[in-house]
Amino acid sequence: MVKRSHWSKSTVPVRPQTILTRSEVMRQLGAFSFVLPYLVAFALFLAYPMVYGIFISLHHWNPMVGAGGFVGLGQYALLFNFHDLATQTFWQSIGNTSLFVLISVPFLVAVPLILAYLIYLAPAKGLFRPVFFFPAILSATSVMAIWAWMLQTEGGPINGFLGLHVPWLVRQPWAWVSIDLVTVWWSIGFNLIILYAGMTQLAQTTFDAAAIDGAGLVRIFWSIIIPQLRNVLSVVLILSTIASFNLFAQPFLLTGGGPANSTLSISQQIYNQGFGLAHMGSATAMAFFMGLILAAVSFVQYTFVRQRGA
Amino acid sequence: MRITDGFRVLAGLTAVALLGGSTAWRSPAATHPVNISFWTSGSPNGVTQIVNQFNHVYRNTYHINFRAIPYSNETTVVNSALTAHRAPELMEESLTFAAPYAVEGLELPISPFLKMAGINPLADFPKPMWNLAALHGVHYVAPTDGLPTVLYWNKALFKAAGLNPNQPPRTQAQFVADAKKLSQPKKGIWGYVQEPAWPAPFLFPSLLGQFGGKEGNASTKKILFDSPAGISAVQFMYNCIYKWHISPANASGGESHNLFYAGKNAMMMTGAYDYAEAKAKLGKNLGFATLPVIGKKPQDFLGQNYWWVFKNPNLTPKAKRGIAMFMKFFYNHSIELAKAGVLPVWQPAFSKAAFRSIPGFSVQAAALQKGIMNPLIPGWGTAGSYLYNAIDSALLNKVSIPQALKKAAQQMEQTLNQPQA
Repeated sequence: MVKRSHWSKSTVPVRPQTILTRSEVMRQLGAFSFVLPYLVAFALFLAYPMVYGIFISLHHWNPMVGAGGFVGLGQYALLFNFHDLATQTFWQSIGNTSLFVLISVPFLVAVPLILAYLIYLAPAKGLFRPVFFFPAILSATSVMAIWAWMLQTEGGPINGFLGLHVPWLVRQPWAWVSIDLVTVWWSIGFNLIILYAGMTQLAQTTFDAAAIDGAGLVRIFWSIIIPQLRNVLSVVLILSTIASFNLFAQPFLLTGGGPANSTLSISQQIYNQGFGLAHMGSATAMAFFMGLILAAVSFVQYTFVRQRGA
Repeated sequence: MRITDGFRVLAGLTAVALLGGSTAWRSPAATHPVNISFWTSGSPNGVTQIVNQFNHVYRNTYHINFRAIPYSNETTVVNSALTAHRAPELMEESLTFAAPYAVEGLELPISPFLKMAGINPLADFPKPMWNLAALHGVHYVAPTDGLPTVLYWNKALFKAAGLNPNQPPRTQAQFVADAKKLSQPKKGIWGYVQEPAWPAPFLFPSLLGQFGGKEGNASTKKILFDSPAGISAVQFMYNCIYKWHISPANASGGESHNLFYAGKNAMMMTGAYDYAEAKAKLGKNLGFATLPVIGKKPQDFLGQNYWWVFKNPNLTPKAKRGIAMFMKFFYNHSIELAKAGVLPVWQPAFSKAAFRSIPGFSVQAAALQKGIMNPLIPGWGTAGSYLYNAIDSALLNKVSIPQALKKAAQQMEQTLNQPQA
């Protein structure tokens, strides 16, 4: 006797091939029309610039007059020619930016997470949320101007208050401490709102049950909040990493990339190369290389967080 | 055809006839003034008034389309316009930005325009501002305003230290002696505040010139600041902090100004851009003079704006005449700039009573005559960061002055001579 598969043709009803009726076509077109505006914007403002950017990176390119000669992957190869000063500065900026990512991302995730939990527990949530979000709506220039004044060595209010003479912006490691401090102050609002929203989605009954079992606020935070917020935390972690890799305004306006280029970021180096020195081909290659680093780091983070959660 | 359709056709034809007729009734000159686009990344104060006056006077023949672009973003905006073939006819930016466009052959020589306008550049502009602005012997740009490096002092602090408040230091020895008397570190009061970074881009070239040195050679792209003169210039800044103790160490950017406004810094050597704010903060206690001679001769670095005409195949002879007329009109109305706090560079205006009565302008006009500027080398502004990082390191006592300047010179030379990438 021949065993018949449960999924054999004779038992599975096959949907007959049909010609779409006019109403179905109209319905599908209607659905497509909702996506169309985004598709147009995506094509114009993301896909086209990206393809054009690749084209630029394969040429000598002066932004004043356009394309020079085709150089293939020459601009990318130049990024590994360590005799070239621009390459040396580029790798120095990668080192600087990576250091910033390492020292900023933990704070950009941990501080808003703790604050979000405190707000979650606090009675006047409506008061605290806008207070902590407020710095995020300020422009980079105004935030940096205020902090540049507050962190001055001789006459700055922070040194005045502390009674110290800390060279916040002119010597290391203080320059990084200052940039990190300002970044956390300026941008925790976004992460805080995302994490707070995640907490509000968690089942209150879990907290109640844990409380009945004698869990305190710290135990609930470690054993319930953090594991259940894993997906939200991974998003916040990846977004913070990307934002930190794109560091520009803080060192540009607070330290000018100094002292001695030690806070020069990748974005600033790309900007200098493309707009200051008019080497747009190599600047674009640097930008794509930075994009590759970001994609790799995000992939590793995402995979790691997912595996831990599985 | 239905009646309503016929009515629509008739109404349409009537509208077309009226519109067409209305343009035909006006004189061609009245309807078609030649448009000249003019962009600036400098201060629009005063310029807007001059443009409006010009547009009113020449309303039948020319119209200046004026646009102020953001200073921080000027390269991006202008380069995008150039590649899209939508660059303005007339552009005003600081001199450093003019060099790459001239090297790429995108600017027209300016002398024919000045000649057409009846301007004699050798007599009508401060000599340094004309003589130092040639590229390979050709003038592509003409100056529009200047911003010299000057000395500010706090008369109240001078008086409190037993110094004559109306007699600022004129030599290095006087400067150091006065600053020592003015400094009271325990009270947080300093004779002078030397920042490692800003305003070195104004002060270092000034001191370098005073000691007889040059930053670089525009023709050969050779860097020259790692010279005895360059070392003397940075040594003076260093000594202010570590030898004479007239300045605090580790001052951060902007600290010199903030302490000056707070009455805790007695003297500043920086650009004249701070005059209005300093006057507002210190009032009659503000002293304002040309730089003391720290080196061997009087020299001061000039911040500035220049204008040039972009090459454009559609630029008609009439439009060129219009540009020349506007230039002359602009210079003849320089008093509008001065009233707005911008220093014009029109020599004939300097002797006029209306100009001389504006506070602070006589000092600046005198400073223009001893002005020096950065060499006209494309990319100088960005590559200059190597120099200012080097000065920064030397003033933070991390590296010796000759070593810092030598390394910066090598780095700048390599950067400025890098082939197109």
